[in-house]
Amino acid sequence: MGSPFDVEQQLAELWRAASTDEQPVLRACSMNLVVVCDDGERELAATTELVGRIAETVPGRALVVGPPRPNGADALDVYVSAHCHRGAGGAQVCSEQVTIEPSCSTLDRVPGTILQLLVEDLPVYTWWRRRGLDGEPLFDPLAGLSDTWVLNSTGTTRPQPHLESLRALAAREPWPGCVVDLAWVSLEPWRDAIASFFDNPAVRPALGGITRIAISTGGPAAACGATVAGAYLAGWIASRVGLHPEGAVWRREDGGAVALSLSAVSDLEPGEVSAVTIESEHNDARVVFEARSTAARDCVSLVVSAGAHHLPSRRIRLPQFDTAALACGVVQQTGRDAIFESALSAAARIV
Amino acid sequence: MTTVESENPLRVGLRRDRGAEPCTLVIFGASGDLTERKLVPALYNLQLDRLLPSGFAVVGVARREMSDDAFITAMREGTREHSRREMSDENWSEIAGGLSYVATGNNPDDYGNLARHLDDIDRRRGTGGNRLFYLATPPSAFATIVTRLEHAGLHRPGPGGGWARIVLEKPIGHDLSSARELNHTVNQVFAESDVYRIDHYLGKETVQNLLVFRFANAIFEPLWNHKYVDHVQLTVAESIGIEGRGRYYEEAGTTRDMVQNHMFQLLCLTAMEPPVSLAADAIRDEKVKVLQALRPVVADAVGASTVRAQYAAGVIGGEKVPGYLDEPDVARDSRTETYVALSTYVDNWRWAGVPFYLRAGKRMPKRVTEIALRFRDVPHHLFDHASRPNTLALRIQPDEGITLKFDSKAPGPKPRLQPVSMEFRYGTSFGQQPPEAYERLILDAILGDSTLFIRRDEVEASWSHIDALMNVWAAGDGALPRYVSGTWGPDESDAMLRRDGRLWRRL
Repeated sequence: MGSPFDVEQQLAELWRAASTDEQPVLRACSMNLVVVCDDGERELAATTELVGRIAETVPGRALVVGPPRPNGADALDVYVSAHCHRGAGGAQVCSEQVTIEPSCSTLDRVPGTILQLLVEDLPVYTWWRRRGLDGEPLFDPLAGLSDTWVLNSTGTTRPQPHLESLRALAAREPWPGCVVDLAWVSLEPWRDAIASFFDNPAVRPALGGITRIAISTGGPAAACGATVAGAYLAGWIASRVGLHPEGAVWRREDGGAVALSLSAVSDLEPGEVSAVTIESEHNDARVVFEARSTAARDCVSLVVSAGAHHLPSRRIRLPQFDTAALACGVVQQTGRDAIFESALSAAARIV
Repeated sequence: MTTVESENPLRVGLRRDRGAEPCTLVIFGASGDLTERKLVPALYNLQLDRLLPSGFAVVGVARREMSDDAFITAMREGTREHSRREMSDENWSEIAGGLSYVATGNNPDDYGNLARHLDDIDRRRGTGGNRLFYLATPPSAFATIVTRLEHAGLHRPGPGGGWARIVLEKPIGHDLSSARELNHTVNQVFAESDVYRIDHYLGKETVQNLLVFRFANAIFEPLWNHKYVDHVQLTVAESIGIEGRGRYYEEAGTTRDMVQNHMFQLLCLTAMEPPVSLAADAIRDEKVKVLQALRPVVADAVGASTVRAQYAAGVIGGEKVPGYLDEPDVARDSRTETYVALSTYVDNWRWAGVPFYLRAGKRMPKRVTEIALRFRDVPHHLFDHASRPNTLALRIQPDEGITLKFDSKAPGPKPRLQPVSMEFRYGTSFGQQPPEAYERLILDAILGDSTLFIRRDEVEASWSHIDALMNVWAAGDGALPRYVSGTWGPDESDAMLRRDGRLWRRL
């Protein structure tokens, strides 16, 4: 490996070579994106492809850390490449990628290398693509230099300790950074659909009389039937309407008990939501709000029933997200997401 | 936790954090170009972004008899052609389900039919009596429509409660007196807080960015005044001509078509003081103060501070184009301007003595809208080659962005200065396509946010200034100066700035 200065020189040379008088290359940089790959043969190539797609929307410098090579001796290979696309007006817009390939024995040199290669004064997003957090040698040093820590908990098989670790990271002091979980971000359409029940001010008081929340989701379940997605949705509703735990029981602000029920559906993909039901007692009437995924799983059907009376049902199309699209959204946000942190905190208690 | 009664606590933090209540959009002039080219494609894109409320319905209203199916088909084709994003039948079906059409002729009872149709939609789609009336008709029809809405009781919310708002397309009036008359008619029926006067420039991302640029960046605001700014140039140039709209243009001219609305809005946003908040009236209060501070028109000074002209035949983009007087529906002795340049002052503490030069024209070499602040020269020249004043240019369209021009030392043994520019381009730094202006504006009207709409006093203050100018111009006679199509306007315009020791920016 050369020094970080050598890497900067290589990047400068890359841009000189790419530009011609007739067709100058426009460079743009609005963030540092550190990506830590998971283990696996195809992981580095897949990550590079994702980084390229993100660069089309949010240009920046990507620092991609490949999986550690067990037999790489003392090597720490660093090389540069560019992601280019046609931008507005047909100009070629490029972002840069620095790939760092450590061996097991040079892993400890990675954080220092990254620190030297960060573009100054721009936010640092670290996308942690490895499965766990605890016991990972890069976790602590990289968390320390990150403004935003991005990960995806969707496939987590043990939601409780995982959410507890995340909650601890989000609450870490002193740490100016924040945590973003793609599993949470991907639930936004469902949150939006559920919120739409209560856009009508006349219906809103029903939120103060919730008696039961039932959520069923796909994915590996904990003993209590909770998945990360289910726990997040339950934690979100609980924290937004002011539910609080009292022993094993969740209570409303007026002291009324709320039954929380989470279940896992085995034939759904992890992270997919099957149904969310909210029951409420309001003005001596029982109102049931049900959001349910359609058979094709491309829409959510919203039904409100009050006693025997059913209001017209509505359908909302669910957008098809992929990982790169979710990550693009995340790296355009700055600052803590207080709603997520409250939901996470409640979710960790629910599971 | 947020108060359950006051706002939807589940909405907080969502991308669609302002939950729009279910409602019906009623478009008058539904068979017109604006509906097909702009409004419905905007609705389609809002639907794609999941920004429309559930149960949302659209009722097209026009004179022509048409079935719902024919209307839906026409709107689908319009959307397919004009949507900024590719249209898919699957996504279209979501909005098509809420589309319907009602024909209204001269019979006032037709509005009774419309009222019943809206009540029926409320029942079927749960739109709760919330109605947004969008007048995409010629302005001459505004007063009649408003009056008939009142007679049919449609100016009030539907039976289930809710709200009734009205959106008016520009132009709002032809002069101060007609603007006042129209505003009076509208305000007799709708409260001012329910009236949304559109200037689609305000829906453009880059225009909104003016507020962010000025008031979210500490380095520029200290320079944004007469101590550092020599003058300001606003340019709205179009390469197209009047595109077959001779009849309209003969009545309007560039001053009414561009200056009274778009350019004065840009001027306001450039010159206004920081608002106390981002509330609609806080911003509009500051904008109207700018209009009130415009130096009053003095008849004797108009000749030296304004230039009007018409395009002559020329070549644009390699194609020959006719002169204005040879366009269809244009009088051979027309004195309607297709180009206007004017110099004005904002007589307040911040801008004392700083000229604002505005120019707008058709058949210019290219389409460009920008605001440029030319800074004062350095107080003492150290270098042999005179330095050039710094310029900050905010490009509104196309290639939206911001450029700062400054001098730099060219490499070599001598201190040779060379102007360089630092550029920020939206298209480079933000990969995603910005929404169309109409998307933002329709959504804001649905949400009841009037920040990006023009208040009555703004309209009347700008007409007041324009009226004074036009009265002086009307007293003149003789042909207007000409400029060759494909050039940057008449020599008289350059001369106007030269007299002040300045030059128009070369764009």
